[in-house]
Amino acid sequence: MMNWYHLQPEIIIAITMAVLLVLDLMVKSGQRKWLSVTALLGTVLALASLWWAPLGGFQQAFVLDGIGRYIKAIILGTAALVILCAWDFDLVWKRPLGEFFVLLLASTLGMLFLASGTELVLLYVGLELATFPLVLLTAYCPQDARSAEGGLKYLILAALGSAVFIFGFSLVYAITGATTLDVLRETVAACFDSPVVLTGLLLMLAGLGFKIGLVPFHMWVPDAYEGAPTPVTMFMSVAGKTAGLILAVRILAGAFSAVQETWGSFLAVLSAATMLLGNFAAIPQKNIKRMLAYSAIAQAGYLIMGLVAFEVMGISSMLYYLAAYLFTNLAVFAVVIAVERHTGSCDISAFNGLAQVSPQLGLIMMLALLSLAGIPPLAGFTAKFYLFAAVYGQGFVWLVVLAVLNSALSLYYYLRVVRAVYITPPAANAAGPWEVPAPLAIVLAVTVIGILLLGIYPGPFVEMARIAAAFVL
Amino acid sequence: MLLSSILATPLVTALVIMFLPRERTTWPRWAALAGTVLAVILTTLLVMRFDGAAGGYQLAVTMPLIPSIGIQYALAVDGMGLVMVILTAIIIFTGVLASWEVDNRPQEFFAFLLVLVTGVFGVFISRDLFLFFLFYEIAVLPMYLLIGIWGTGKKEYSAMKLTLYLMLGSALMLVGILALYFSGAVQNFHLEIIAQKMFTPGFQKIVFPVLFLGFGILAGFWPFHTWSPDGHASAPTAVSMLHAGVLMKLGAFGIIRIGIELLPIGASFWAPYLALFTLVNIVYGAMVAMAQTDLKYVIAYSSVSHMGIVLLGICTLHPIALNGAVLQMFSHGIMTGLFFALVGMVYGRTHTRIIPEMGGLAKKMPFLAMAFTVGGLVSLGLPGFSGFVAELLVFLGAFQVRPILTVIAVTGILFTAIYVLRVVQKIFFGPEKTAFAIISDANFIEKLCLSILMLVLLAVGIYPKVLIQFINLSIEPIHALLGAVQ
Repeated sequence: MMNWYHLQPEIIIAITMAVLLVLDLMVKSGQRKWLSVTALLGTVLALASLWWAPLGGFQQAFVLDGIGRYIKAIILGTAALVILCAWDFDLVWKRPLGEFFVLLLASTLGMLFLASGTELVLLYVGLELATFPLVLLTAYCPQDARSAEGGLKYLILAALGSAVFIFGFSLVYAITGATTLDVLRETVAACFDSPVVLTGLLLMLAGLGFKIGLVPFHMWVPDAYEGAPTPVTMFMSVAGKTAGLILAVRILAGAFSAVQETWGSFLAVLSAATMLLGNFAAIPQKNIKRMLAYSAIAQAGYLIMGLVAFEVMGISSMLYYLAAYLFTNLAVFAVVIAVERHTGSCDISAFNGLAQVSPQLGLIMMLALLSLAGIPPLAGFTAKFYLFAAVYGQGFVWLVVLAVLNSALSLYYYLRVVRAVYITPPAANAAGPWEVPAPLAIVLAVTVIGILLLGIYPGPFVEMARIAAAFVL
Repeated sequence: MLLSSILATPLVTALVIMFLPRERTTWPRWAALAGTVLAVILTTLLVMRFDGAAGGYQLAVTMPLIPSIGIQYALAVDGMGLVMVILTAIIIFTGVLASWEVDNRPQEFFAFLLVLVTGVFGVFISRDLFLFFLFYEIAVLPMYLLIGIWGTGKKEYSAMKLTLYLMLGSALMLVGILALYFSGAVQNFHLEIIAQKMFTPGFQKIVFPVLFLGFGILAGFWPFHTWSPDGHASAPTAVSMLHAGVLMKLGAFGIIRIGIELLPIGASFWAPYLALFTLVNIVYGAMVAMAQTDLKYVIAYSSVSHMGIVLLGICTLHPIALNGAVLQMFSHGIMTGLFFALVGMVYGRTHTRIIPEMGGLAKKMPFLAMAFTVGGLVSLGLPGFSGFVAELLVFLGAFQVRPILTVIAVTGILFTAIYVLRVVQKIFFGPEKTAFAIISDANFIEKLCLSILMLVLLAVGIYPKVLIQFINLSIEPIHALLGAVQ
């Protein structure tokens, strides 16, 4: 018996996509803002529907549970903020707005299914639906060679990742004959020493590694992040990572909890390699988006530490970290967009003297970067503290030591941007203060409040993350 | 409530300053002055409310912050914390006076300075390890911008070096803190609950050095002190004052509060070896100071040397020496504040910090010369000033535990006397240089700033009991704790 009420957010997003496609044909060029309004309203409505959509699922394939709701809130929240950032995308990037929002929502829809799927075929379809619109969006500005290059690289590696993932899935299926996670859990527990199942598991993990951007499957990340239009980079970095992680949680917790030690230590090694490479490679970067791409790789390394510490504290700390990461990363990219609009450049030198030209933007940039580095009293600090504590509690002391040293190291390149913003004098022709369009200003306000709130008063949010985490364990 | 308001005062002032109109360039300093005067008043109230007869932790506030993992907003003050709060209030008040002439982006300058002070106050009165660590990092980070923007010389290098060193220290601290948290059955960050855990000797021996190093980096522990001379020399006046005067004390404070109080067995095991390093601090610091030609580097290295005395006092674990160490933290804080304020004022007039380029300045600026001489005399431990009492206590205590070490350490005082007197003689006396024909003496604000610092040094030197009575309230329980494990 299917209960459509569980599918409310997905249905609302799908309807919004259809409306947008029709509207795109109808509105005149002067009225394009109605496209943005529609996209935003649809997303916000979907976000609101999470509050009244009943928990539950059907046919062992789809479930709206606590963690699914938490993750969907993050994905839809990101989508809404990205839509605000891309409000007049057609003016800035000289590309049609309607298709952009449709593709963005298509990817969002795929991610929503990832957050709720409990059956491997559905998850795979969700994964593809989430990924391929993003490939198109990355290459959305073909007049920019970097956008095209990033898109192509992303396409090839995303296809490779999917292929690896589905090959692993087929191996597991060959032995167990099951595709639903519930059935898999029992059969895997019975035959967990089968080398075929283990190979399948490792291949699936590698496929997930591509999606989340873990070393050594991270090669597409810097090019795609740098090449994509900045709102797309924003969406990829937060929503894309969230979707990849929830997929990992679903599969690992749902089907493979019996072999937790195997994948736990495998992920610990991946996490260590990811944060090391991400942080070291970020140091010499001169383009802020490329630097943030490597920083995002490093953050992915921290995030999967939550999976390594596979109990309530670990998963909830990962969920809390995702919420902190949402506000922090979106704040950074919103400032990048504001600077890009005025200077047309994404070099770190474009940020020189930002604090003097536009004090608010400078302050927000500094707060967001320090939050990424994990400095109190900001969201990133509480999130890291909680995450590291959880991993320490599971006995991975070496990983915590490595992670805290990495945090200290990461401060070096974040501070280089802070130096540009605060210490380096502005370029002679930079007249301030810069005007920030209202939708972007909303994004900046929301994210800064989030950064401070999660940093100063974390209690209720940690509680929410713990409640959500309890659903998968 | 009183403690919360001490914490909130600088923070709120910083926020107010950020929202002042940008074209009013003198408003920020008046706002900062108002805020720091309020902090001094609240600190005075705190001293009056503190019950010296009762001891222990007083005026406690506790509110849950993240109940599910045992984190709370818990503040309380004990004798040692009280003395450190007094020190901070004096230094920030005089620091604002010493930065009266800052006209480059004053709004941001005073705001960052006050955010930093919020962190410092927070560390001294936290009763929760999470909160302690949070304030500790808040205190460290504004330093990067303060040095990077308003500093002099190779400021960006110094700022980055300082920040990375201190972050390395807090990385070690975080590991140590998590170890304390997860050990035992109860998991809570409240220091009182952690203090009741019976840590095994093996655990203590592993965790103590991690924490000691983490805090030691900030306290200027040799060989991890190299950030401090560069940082202090590059920083603007008020920041040097705060950093050498108060921030380095956070490290020493942390070693006592977290290291020794929670891990007495680990402390007794490691202290004899660590004491050897502090010896290098004292003697090597003083010798390097002797070789400097830049006035600010002389003071910066003298801080390394004097912090060595604090660390030596701590490492002997002797009650008298521990009392002396905390008193030295206070005394050195005020003294180095005086010195850095003076260096800033002299540099503001001569536009050079190179000692051989100066000379005969006493005729032009007798007040500054007098103040510098007072600072120098405190530095070399002249009786009648606070430095004497503090160093005497440290060496008295240390001699009973480790006589040979103490004798070597005392030679550090000798070197200190040499470089201090030479600097005073070269800068203020001798033939006058024509380049400085038209410079003037201290103005009213500067005189006020210096007089306060000198009076404190003198008052504590003549009547040290005023602070010792508070300090001893905290040292006695530690003594009992150490006695129980030895």
